[in-house]
Amino acid sequence: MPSQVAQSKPSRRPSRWARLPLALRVGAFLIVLILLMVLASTLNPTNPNATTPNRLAPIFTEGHPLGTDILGRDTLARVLAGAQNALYVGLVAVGIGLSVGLLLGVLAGYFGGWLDQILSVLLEALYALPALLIALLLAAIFNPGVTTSMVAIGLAAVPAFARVARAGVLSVKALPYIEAARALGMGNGRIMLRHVLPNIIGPLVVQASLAFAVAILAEAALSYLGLGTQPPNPSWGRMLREAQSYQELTPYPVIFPGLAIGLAVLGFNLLGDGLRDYLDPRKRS
Amino acid sequence: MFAYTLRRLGFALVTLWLATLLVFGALLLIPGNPAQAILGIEATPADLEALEARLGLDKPPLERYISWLGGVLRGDLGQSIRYERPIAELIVARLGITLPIVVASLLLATILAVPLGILAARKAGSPIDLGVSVASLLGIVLPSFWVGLMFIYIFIVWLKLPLPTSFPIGGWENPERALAALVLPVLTVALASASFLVRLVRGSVLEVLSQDFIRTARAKGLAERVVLYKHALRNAALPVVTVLGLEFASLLIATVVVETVFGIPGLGSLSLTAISARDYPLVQGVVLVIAAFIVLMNLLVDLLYGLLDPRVSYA
Repeated sequence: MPSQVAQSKPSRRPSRWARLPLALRVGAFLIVLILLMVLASTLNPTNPNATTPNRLAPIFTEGHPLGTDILGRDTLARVLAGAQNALYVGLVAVGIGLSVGLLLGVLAGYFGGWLDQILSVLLEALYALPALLIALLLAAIFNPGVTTSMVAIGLAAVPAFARVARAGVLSVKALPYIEAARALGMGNGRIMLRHVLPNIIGPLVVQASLAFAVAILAEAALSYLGLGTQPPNPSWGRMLREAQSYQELTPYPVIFPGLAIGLAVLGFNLLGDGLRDYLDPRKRS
Repeated sequence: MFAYTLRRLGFALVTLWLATLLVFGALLLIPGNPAQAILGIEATPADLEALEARLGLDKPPLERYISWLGGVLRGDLGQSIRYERPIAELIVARLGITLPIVVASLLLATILAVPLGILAARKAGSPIDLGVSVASLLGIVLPSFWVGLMFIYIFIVWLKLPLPTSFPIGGWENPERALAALVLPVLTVALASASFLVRLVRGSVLEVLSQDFIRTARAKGLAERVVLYKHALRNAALPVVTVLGLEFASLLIATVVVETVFGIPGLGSLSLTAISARDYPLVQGVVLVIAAFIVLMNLLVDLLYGLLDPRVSYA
């Protein structure tokens, strides 16, 4: 009688990919999807701003799979172009938040003392000003537009990045290898750049992913209010603002930009959560 | 406790002062002449001069800041250019609409999120838990103003419920209509807020339930009900309270945006009108008032946290 055990294949170790946290895998998949939307938008021959006589077409219309808006513009092309806009705004805003926050957080954590206290109070004050308030101020000074909204979202993200960086520096600073570096005669700048920074990158990457999700939501809200991307450029928030006025005629120009926002925000949130689990040594098996 | 309260109060005051500096300083960055920007290119020199005098532009910035700050401390935020009325009066009138939405949403969100969060934590891993988690995730990733738009479509266009789609012109003079106009906005903001809170409550209860003192309480034969309500929930409340302050800020901002969806003349529409009319003093006033609310709420939460948790160090 052949042995059952001999017939079964040796159990294979799950691949590296399969061992990653589920949230990380789903998040990465959704972000690839958004990147494909951007690629499709650049390859798409349909101009997202081109008007056609075929107004308020329902979904599955030939040539307009997601229908058209009140000016006959292709909803699919506009949603795809909106992805490009969302990624662009997110990248710049997170870039501002990360660079300013990292600089302030590292300085506060590394030097401590009065510098730390002053920076902490300043950052706490900035916490009381959400992106919308900063955007209102900037829109009053300059004209409302994509630049003011990116700067506002970026500035609002600074305190969170600074907090993460400061906490990271504080935990690394006490370790013996920093003392060793100092004993070898290394300067503060070199220690920060070569020995502190590489060891606090993990939490910052997690924060960047979560901040990206917040930035996409904030950009949509600002554009919806008319404080962000200006017409005719397609932005998911802007599309919702325009489609609201004829919502009772057709719901599709409202439905799809909203779903796109949800998809992108979900992707970056899951990626951030998954990365946090992955980078946390206590949760890694 | 007294020293802690005092220190926290001082910190809030410094934060508020920094906010006034930022709000005032921002307007110094306006390129060119603000009076020209407000009146446009057709303005006569006499009009320009009059407006400049009214805005105090003929005085140096520090003097303007001190007199503005003095006014702010007395509750005088200056005159609105667009409405030609005291800014404080305008903001108080709009707060009469925005604040009820904020408070009602926070209440509804808590009523929804606390029991659901506890239920999900007790039945962790069950289909109920999964359902609550998926619903809350949806509420977090979908923008609240889009959810509001979908509610208009579902409840008013589709189901034809007799709900008004705008706030009555007379405001609260017609309380029934005004309340009816606030149903969907409150539901929209509350659902967004509850989605966030429910995750927090669930996580917090789960964390507490896994601790040693809960095992001890069970081991000494206490009823599960007593373990949950007397031992677990009191401890699980702490992290939830901490985040409530931050949640208040995002709820206030969400309300400002959702107001626009439902055509409600609250702080949101006031600030947008101020921007489009280039009414700088009004923009300053609205931003300062919202920031002050956020600072005060954070202060309250910190003090409450100190009261709730004897372990918080007051040193």
